[in-house]
This record gives sequence, structure tokens and C-alpha cells, in this order.
Amino acid sequence: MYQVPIPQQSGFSNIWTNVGRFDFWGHEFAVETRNLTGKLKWNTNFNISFDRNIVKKLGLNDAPIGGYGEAWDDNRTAVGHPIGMFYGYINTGVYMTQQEFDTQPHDATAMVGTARFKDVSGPDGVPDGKIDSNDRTWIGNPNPKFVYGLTNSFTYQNLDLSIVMAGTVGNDIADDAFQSTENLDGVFNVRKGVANRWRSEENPGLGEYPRTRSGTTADFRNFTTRQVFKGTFLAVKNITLGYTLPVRKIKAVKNLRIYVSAQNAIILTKYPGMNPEAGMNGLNGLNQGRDFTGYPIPRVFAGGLSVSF
Amino acid sequence: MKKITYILIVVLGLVSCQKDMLTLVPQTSLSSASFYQNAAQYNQALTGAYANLRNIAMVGIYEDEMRSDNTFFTYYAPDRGTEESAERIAEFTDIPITAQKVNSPGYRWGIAYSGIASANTILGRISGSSLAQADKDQISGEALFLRAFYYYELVQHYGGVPLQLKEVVSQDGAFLPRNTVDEVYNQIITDLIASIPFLPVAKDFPLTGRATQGAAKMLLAYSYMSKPTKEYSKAESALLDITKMDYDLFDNYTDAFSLANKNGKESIFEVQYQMGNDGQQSDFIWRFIPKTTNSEAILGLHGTTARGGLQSGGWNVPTQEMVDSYESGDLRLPASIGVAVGTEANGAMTVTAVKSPVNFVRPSSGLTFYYFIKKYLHPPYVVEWNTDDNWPVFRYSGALLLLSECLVAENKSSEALPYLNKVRHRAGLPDLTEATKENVANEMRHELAFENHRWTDLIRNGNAVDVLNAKGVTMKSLYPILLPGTFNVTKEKLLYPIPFNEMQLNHNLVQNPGYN
Repeated sequence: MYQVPIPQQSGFSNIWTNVGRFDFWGHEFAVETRNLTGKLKWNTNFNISFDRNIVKKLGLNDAPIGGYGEAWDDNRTAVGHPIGMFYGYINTGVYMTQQEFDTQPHDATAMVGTARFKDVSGPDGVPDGKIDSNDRTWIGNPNPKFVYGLTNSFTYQNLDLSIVMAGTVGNDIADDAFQSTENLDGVFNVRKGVANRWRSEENPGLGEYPRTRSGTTADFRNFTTRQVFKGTFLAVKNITLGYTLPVRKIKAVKNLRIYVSAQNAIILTKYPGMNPEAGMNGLNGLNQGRDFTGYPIPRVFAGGLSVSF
Repeated sequence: MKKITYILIVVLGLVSCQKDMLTLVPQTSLSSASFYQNAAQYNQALTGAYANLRNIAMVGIYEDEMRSDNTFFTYYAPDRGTEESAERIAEFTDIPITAQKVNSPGYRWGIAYSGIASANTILGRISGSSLAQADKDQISGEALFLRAFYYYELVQHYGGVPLQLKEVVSQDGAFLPRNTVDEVYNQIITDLIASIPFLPVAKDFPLTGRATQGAAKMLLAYSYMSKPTKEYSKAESALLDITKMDYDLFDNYTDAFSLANKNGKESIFEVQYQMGNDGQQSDFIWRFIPKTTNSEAILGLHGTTARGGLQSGGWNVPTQEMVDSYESGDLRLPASIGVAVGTEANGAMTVTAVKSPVNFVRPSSGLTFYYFIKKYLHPPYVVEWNTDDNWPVFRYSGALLLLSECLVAENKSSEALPYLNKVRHRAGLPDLTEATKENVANEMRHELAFENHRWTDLIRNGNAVDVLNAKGVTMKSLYPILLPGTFNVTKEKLLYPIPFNEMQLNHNLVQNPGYN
């Protein structure tokens, strides 16, 4: 059951109804191996999940859920696609010269020096030489290709070492903070790259940031491919090294172990945001993959003593 | 024992529960299944249907007045992303996505249909209800008027729209296709004619603010004169009926807007507001004054919002051309427009004087000035953004001028002259010797200035494209900041686009030409 949008001509804006039909399928594997069993013992636990989904039917004439606003409405759930795909414009740079502006498709508030987008389609499904809301398309997938976890544990005499790792591959993240940090209206602090924006045909900058002329800045801060990044990551979640002290001599103490551990020791990712596991919408299945100033998780070093009596 | 249990089981299986036992209604909250039982509840629903008029009045400031040659807005340089929806409407660069933002000036579609849905719910349930006939008539009459009013708003601004005439109870009722312009006007006229016998005639002023026969006949006349095939004789008879009712003009133009005369003898229909803590207040004047750091210089009360946004002033600003277009001696000029003079820094003004636009001398260098709409300025104010002004929809002077327009169109301009001159006389102007289409339209522009009529009046008279293209030329020379793509006014721009998300949800809708 979900609040599905309904045409406002009815007097209502949405209706509680069965959303439709989603198909989920996948494969999961888990492997547990004992690699070394001599003095140095090494065990490995590995699991991997390939999950897929596709929307088969949506209530109310298969009208898509989400993706109606040009900004802050990143996810669209539509028939024939996975849930919650990113839907927006494709940003292709800046109109650097008047000649480029005149010969390339643009929209009503564009001029030389403003952001340029790809002409994906017109109302008939073929490119029409104009940039408008028909040129929004699928620009990312927050569903990962697979997720996996890997735990290695080593034991050598009284030492034990365990390394827990987890990661995902193939998911995209929409960094919504860009809609504020790349807002050229003149109200926010902006990213450093804006210093190299287009100023004039003689001073066109690096072609990444457009001009800041009044009335033209809205397009650039809409949801576009500029805000979509690969979210593939591998995180070493926990490394723990422990030493069990031999305590046969003390009757009261059964077991004594000291350990040091590192939580979130290493995260390997190309994602430029602060936390590739961020998601501002929690468990809302239709709005995954959006990071809006997700706070980074700290690396924690701990040491401890574990005593059993 | 076994036999008895078998018999019992068979008997119980043959008896089934009554359907009603299983269909329950929530006992602790109101729902459409348990509401609508008596006249008080129907009247509550009716009040709810009236409430959308307030949003329509707000939308009209941007979509009907700022879109016309009467006003424009003041650029706020420190925040260039502000209220893109409101600015694009005035600059003629609005697109279907502009029109869909809820709580934005472009949202007329959703507001009107919400009102229509309320009216449909009332009308659909009341005929089968147990109310007294007098209550049924009173409530149906007002609901029919409101439904016609909202459809008139839609057809004027979007063209032919889907005719939702029944309460929507399932998905199927929500995806209707568009009807033609003629079909919508026919429905409006049918609803109004049906409502008239049930509505009271205005007798004792001040009125209550509910619909009256005068309001229905005024809307009927507008409909007859705006639809594709005009029916001037029917409009004329409806308007003549209004002249026989107890309405009259106040002696002074400013009296018509004074708070002491709300719903007074010149008012045919007003949107009701009330200052106070109940959330019923209006706020027009706060939108119309310039963006200032010291609103107390104009309003007598310090306002805390000087930032950009709809939550601040600088909207619906009379253009220089508007100020210059008043005839000399027209008492309506100082009554409608004021001038704020002061210094300006960072997009906000510090007001040092408030002057009259009559014989206004531009200040010396160092000082700047902004016009603002003065009609709705009625201090003292106690709380910011909280005023008592009603919004005028139909006034008696508007009825007289509409009658003049109708008579001129029927080639009876000599009959039109007395009505035209009565309005002029009240404005302190000399009589005209002849009533023509141009001078009636001009009179209407100044009499109904800033009351959200100008845009539709221009369209009805066929001047909209030329007048607005001329405004574009003037605006672009005054404000080089305007983009080249603005003010490209074509016939297609006389209609607004159907909101983008409506088009995405309902594939039976066809967008207005020029907005694909």
C-alpha cells in the first residue's frame, strides 16, 4: 500500500492503493572455507548476493511514481524498470560560444554561457532540437549489481586476528548536496570549481560551470548527471587483533584476553561524498541512493581486556 | 450427540451475516461515510468549498495582473533563484513544470479542481439526503455557483478542461479527458441558471459574503461575453437585472475598498478574509509594498522579512506606463497607487517618504522611488502579514462597465453612455460624448485596476497579444537584465499550460499548443 499520485482534476493529489506488481529474484551464495589448518589457522567466510527487481505493473494506469519535479525528486519507479531509478537531465557542459548556442538545442531561459543538456527526446520520442521536460531520462540505478561480505579469521598460537569486510558493486548514488553547493543563484557558498566558470566568450573558463546571469541559473541546479556518482565501495569494517593470556595458574580467572580493534578501518571507494553507505530516506524502498550531507562514520580504535571468572 | 452437532453445523452454514454487519465506519473519526447527515454539516462542507477562492485570489495576482500591462515585479538581485515560478509568469517564459508547483502562483489547476470536488460531493449527496427543502435549495444554489465559478477560472486560463461533475470515488473517475471550450461554458451557464432561483437577492447591506443572484448574474454575463460564440443579448439582460437590484456606487472611489464597507452596497462578490488569530487573514499589501528594511514607513508596522521570496514585497508593481495612462484629474490614481521614496542598498529600500503619484516629481540623485498598489492599504496593523481586506471579485462599477461593453458590442453605444459616464463621474472625470470599445476598455482598466481582471479583459477584447508585446519592448529597454527569450507573446501564450505532472499521470490529456 502506498500513496500513489493521482491527477488533481479529481480534487485529490494522491490515493492509498495497492502499488502494483514488482518482481524480485536473485541468487545468494555463501562459502565457508578452512584454508590453513596447521599451526597457523585461516578460515574464510564469504557471501555474495545478486538481487534484481523489476516493476511489472503500477496501480492507476501504470503512472510512474516519483520523478515529476525537476529537482529534489530524484527517483522514479516505472513499469519495465527497476525500482527507484534516477531520472533527470543529462548535463553536457556549457554553451561556450554564441555559435555553439545558436546551433545546439537549448531551452527558453538559456543563452550563451549557460548549462547545456542533451536533447534526448521531444513529445514524440525523437530528439526535437529543444530542451524541455521531455529530455529527462534514466540517469542512474541505486540498486547494486551485487553485495558481498568477506570475513577472514586467523589464529596462531595465542593470537587471533579477524578482518571483516563488506561492499557493494554497481550502485549509483545521487549526491543531492550538489543541488545546494552548485546553486549559482547567489545565496549559498559554492564549490571551488565555480571560480572557473564561464564569464564571457573571451573568458569561458573550463567548460564545467556556467555563467551566473540573473534568470539563467535554475537549470544548472536541477537534478542532472552531474549529481550521480558510482557508489561501488569496499569497506574494511572491523580488524581485531587479540591475544589470549595463558592463565592456568590463576584459579579464579578462566579466560583473559586483550585485544585491539579498529572499526571502519578503511573504506575504498571512488565516491566523492563522505559516506558511500549514506541514504537520506532510510527504509523507503522507492527512494534509495540519495545522499544529502550524510555524516561520515568515524574510524574508532578501541582496546580492551576481556576477563571471564 | 453427533447428529445434533451435524445439524447445528449445517444450520449455521445456511445462515449468513447481514452485509451491513461487516461494513463498518470508523467510530472515532469523521469520514465521508458518516458525515453529510444534517444541514450544519452540509454548510460546513459548503464553507470548505468557498475556501479555495482565497487561493484563486492569490494566484490571480501573478497570473492575471502581473501577466498584464498593469504591473510587473521588482528584481531582487541578492537572490536570483527566488520564486522562479512567479517571475516566469510575468515574463512569458512559463512552462508546464512551472505550473505544477503546489503553493506556487501557477497552481490554479489544483486549487480550482479541489473546489470543484467539494462542490460535486455536496451536490451529489444532497438530493438524496433528508434535509429540509429550503436547506437543500440554499446549499445547492451556492454549490452550483461555486462550481461554475471554478470552471470559469479554468476555462479562461486553460481552455477546454475535463468536466468533473461527480464525486470521484474510484480510479476511473480521475482520468477523464479534456472537454471542449464550448462544453465547459455550457456547463457553467447551466449551473448558473440552475443556481439563480435558489440564491437570495442582495437586500440588506452589508451582505454575508455568500453567493447571491447578483453574483451569479454577473458571472453569467461574463460567460456569455467570453465564450467563443458571444451571446450579448443574454448578457445584457442579466446585467440589466443587476442594475435593478439595490446595488449602488459609493460617493468616493476609496469608500469601495474601505474596511468599514466590506460587503457593502457596491460589492457584488468578494472573497472573505478576517484579520486575527484564526488563520483567516489576508496579506496583499505586504506583497505589494517594495522590499524594504522599514515597512513601518508605509504600513506603520515593522515587518521582519526583507529577504527575497514570495514572503516579501516587490510584487505586482504598477508600471510607469500604467501610471501615465490615467487621465489628468482621475481621482482613482492617488487612490490606487502610492509612491515610496528612499535609498536602496542590496536590493532592499529604506523608505524616507510616501508620496502621491499625482504630479510626482522624480527625486534628486541618491534617492530612488518605487510605485506600489495602495488600494489595499488600511492601517493600523497589529501583526505582520495579517490584514482584514477582502478581495473584490465583482463590483457594481464593474457591472456598469461590463454592461457598457456589452451594449457597444451590440451597436447600442448611445445606451451605453450613461453607465460609462456614471462611473467616470464618480472618478472625478468629465463625461464622454460617445461610448466606444476602446474607451470602455480603458475605463475598465482604471476602474478595476489591480483587481485581477486586466489579463482576461485584454483577451476578451482581443488586444492581449499586441498590448503585451508592446509591454515587452518597454520592459526590455528599462531592464536589460531580461533575457532575450522573454515576452515572446503569441496567441498560444493566452492560455496557460496544463501542469506537467497532470500530463504525466493522465495520458488522456492533450497539452495546450505551444507548450509541448
